[in-house]
Amino acid sequence: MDAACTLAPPARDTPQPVKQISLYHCASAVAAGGVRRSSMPPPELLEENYEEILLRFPPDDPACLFRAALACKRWCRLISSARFRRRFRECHRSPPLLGAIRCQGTGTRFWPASAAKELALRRRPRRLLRD
Amino acid sequence: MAAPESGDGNNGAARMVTLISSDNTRFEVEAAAASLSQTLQLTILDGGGGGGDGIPLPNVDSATLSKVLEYCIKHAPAAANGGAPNATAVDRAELERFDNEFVNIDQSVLYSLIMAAHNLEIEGLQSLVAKKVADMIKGKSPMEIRRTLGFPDPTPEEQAEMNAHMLEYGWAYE
Repeated sequence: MDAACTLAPPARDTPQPVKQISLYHCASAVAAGGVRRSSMPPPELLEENYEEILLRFPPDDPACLFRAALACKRWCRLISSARFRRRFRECHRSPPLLGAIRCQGTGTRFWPASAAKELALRRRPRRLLRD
Repeated sequence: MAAPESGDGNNGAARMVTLISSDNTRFEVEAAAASLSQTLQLTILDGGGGGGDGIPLPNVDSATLSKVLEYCIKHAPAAANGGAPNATAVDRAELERFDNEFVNIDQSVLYSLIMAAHNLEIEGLQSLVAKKVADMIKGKSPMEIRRTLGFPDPTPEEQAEMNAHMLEYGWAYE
């Protein structure tokens, strides 16, 4: 069970003031918190938090994932893992299109997905690369 | 001991539960709203959090918890309708507008929210905040991503690796 919901006894027995939640209260409390925190550095996120963020990258532009994988080694390992690729497929229902290989007289060239979209409109690519 | 109703709010006043943040602030909120958290839901179904007792949340401070509860209160009616299949387009548009404004906040608050949503297992909130952070970095180059997220500067070895990658995959750095 998660640590956030550990049913530990309250730290103090003395009754604490109870805040009745209302939208007004929430807005004012957060506004105050936001001012207080604006000078603080962002807290360090866990690997699971980063995974949730990377899962929300648009599937139709996998170059975003590629760039993110180059940002740091930890993300590169994360994005390359089978677990992440499986979750990404489940999250977006379809495997991402990485790009196309175009065969030309002088050789072959890889076209990344965003450029491949334009290519596909003009010529039919010989082979598509999928995840 | 008479088991309380499970927070449906169909017996007069809705059942309230008390949540205690890491800085010992107590928040009283409807059980239906708090039950958006999968982890809190189990405790609430067992009758916890009512009366003088509260549910301690040692990993969530009061500013973050009030923001989390703001989301839960707004989304609780739709969740109670089983994902709101009967919701009108106006209701959905209103929730969408709320969500857009909700994540228009400081980056450090976004980070606190995504950690709290993960700890409390609030799927909708986690998805909303993660999407916002993903949108912040999705069009950026690797170095811009590092700067946006506050990563430390790369070591000389990492920089050399990135330079080698840049030669091979230059388009990814454009």
